[in-house]
Amino acid sequence: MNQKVLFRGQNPNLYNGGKYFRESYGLGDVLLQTRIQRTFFSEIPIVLGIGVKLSNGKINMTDEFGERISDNLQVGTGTVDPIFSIYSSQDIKKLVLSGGIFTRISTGENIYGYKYGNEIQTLINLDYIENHLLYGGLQVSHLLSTRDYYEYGKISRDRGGESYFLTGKIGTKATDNLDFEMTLQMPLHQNLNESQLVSPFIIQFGSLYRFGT
Amino acid sequence: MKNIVLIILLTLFSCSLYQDDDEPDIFFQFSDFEILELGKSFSDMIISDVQNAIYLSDYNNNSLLKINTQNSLLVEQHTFVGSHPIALDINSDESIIAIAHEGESSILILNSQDLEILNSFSVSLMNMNDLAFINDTTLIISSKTDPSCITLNLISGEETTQSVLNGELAMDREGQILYVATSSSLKKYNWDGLRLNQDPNISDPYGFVGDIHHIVYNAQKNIVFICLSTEDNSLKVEHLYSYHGDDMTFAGKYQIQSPGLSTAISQNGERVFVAPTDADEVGVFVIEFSQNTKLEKNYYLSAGNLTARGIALDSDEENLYLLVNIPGDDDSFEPYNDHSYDLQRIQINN
Repeated sequence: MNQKVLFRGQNPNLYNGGKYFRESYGLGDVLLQTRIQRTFFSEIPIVLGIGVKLSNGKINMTDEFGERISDNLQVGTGTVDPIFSIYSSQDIKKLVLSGGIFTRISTGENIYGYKYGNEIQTLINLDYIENHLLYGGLQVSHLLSTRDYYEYGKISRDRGGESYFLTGKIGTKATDNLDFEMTLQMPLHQNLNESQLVSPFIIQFGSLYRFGT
Repeated sequence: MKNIVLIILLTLFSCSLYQDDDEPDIFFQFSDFEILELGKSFSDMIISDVQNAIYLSDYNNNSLLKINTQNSLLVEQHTFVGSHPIALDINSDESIIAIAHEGESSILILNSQDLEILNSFSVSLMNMNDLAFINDTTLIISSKTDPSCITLNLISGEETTQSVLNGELAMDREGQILYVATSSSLKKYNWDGLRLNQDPNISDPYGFVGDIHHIVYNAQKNIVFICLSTEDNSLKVEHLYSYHGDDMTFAGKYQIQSPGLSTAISQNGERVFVAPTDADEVGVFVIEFSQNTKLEKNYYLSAGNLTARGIALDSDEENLYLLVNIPGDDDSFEPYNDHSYDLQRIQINN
């Protein structure tokens, strides 16, 4: 087949037919969270987190032609939103079983009239710590996000839905404060609104630094 | 205190904040369709699988366009013809095209490959509306204002008046049978090599005076399909009509809730595609029927309003071609701007 197929966002009236890269980079929205650790049901430690997502990330990135790129490609969201979390973990010999729920609740539109949907993520981790240097683990997670709205209330298509992921993790402790880890995330099931691009797997390399430990 | 914090958090995690019942309005933009922008008023359309091309007669610009359909749609050739070309037909090996004109009494014969004009014939008819190849050397031509059709011999140039009522023409070239959709009924004529003789079988009258939009004959099923509407809109015609070619009895109606504008039939006669006049809430859909059950099988969304003789199906039955008038284009007062058609390609379900 050699047919000309235009996707949404591409059409002959756009610059280069809409087929060019849109880049956004920079510091995203900063999350500030305070955590309270309590023991419930006599022995289970539970960490409660309450905080805010700031609106410092840029939301006016433009493409090479000076047109503002769409909101869901911007680095920031443009709104200050509350975030909540609840987290617990339990050591079982060399295994660490942990689980948590994290949510971000959208409070309103940004200056461009775009309102992100609410998000809630639930995850269960099982980590294995072989020795001081090496650890690995498996994670099952569920991510639910509601639809976005644009132009102060119009329902956005191709946004929102729910996904189940299985994630494998391997990491090393470079120092007591610094971890490096690699994760491989694969979707187990996805039920997304309309047509959205999905990845068969995602590989991430990351680092974690703990202040003051 | 601990319980209060826990209750607040559980409320936030479990309430209706995460229920999502809103549905967006789904609408389609111009770029959602595969369109070749032409912006012209077309009077007829034929498809050639040999040439991998579609031929369009441009009524207002007195020209014939050849559209290459092999890969992306593109205008391959363009040639000026006579005044207001009204009807096209292609011969059996798809090597030559005949054009009838509404604005002058001439018939042009062109090479289908490069659109070179091979011959031109003056005829006695005015206001021609249709023509068809009876065989590779003879044309049958109809006029809106002359009640009798004529035949034209392409070798001698000889014109013969036939006892054939005017109307829209469809030819069974194998059986040498001509079907004419007149304003009141469908008629059948047998070719004896010189004359067309009316067959004793005539269809029942439509029951109204009709405007014929398209007539198509399918050889495999030996069925004639007619798209028509009433002239004065006094009666709402909601069907595509079909008739058996042998005895002209009514073979079935395909209910589309709107007068049919044009139709395309698969080669085996099993799949019937109909272009309706009216749109529903989402847009105009070409409806695919099963010939066996006379029931709908698939719907194909077009990019705009459709027109008479404006649908064609390739012989591989992979693509449907439509002439579409996209209302968003009608944004100026320039002449002819209100009927500017583009060519749309739709990949059909197989």
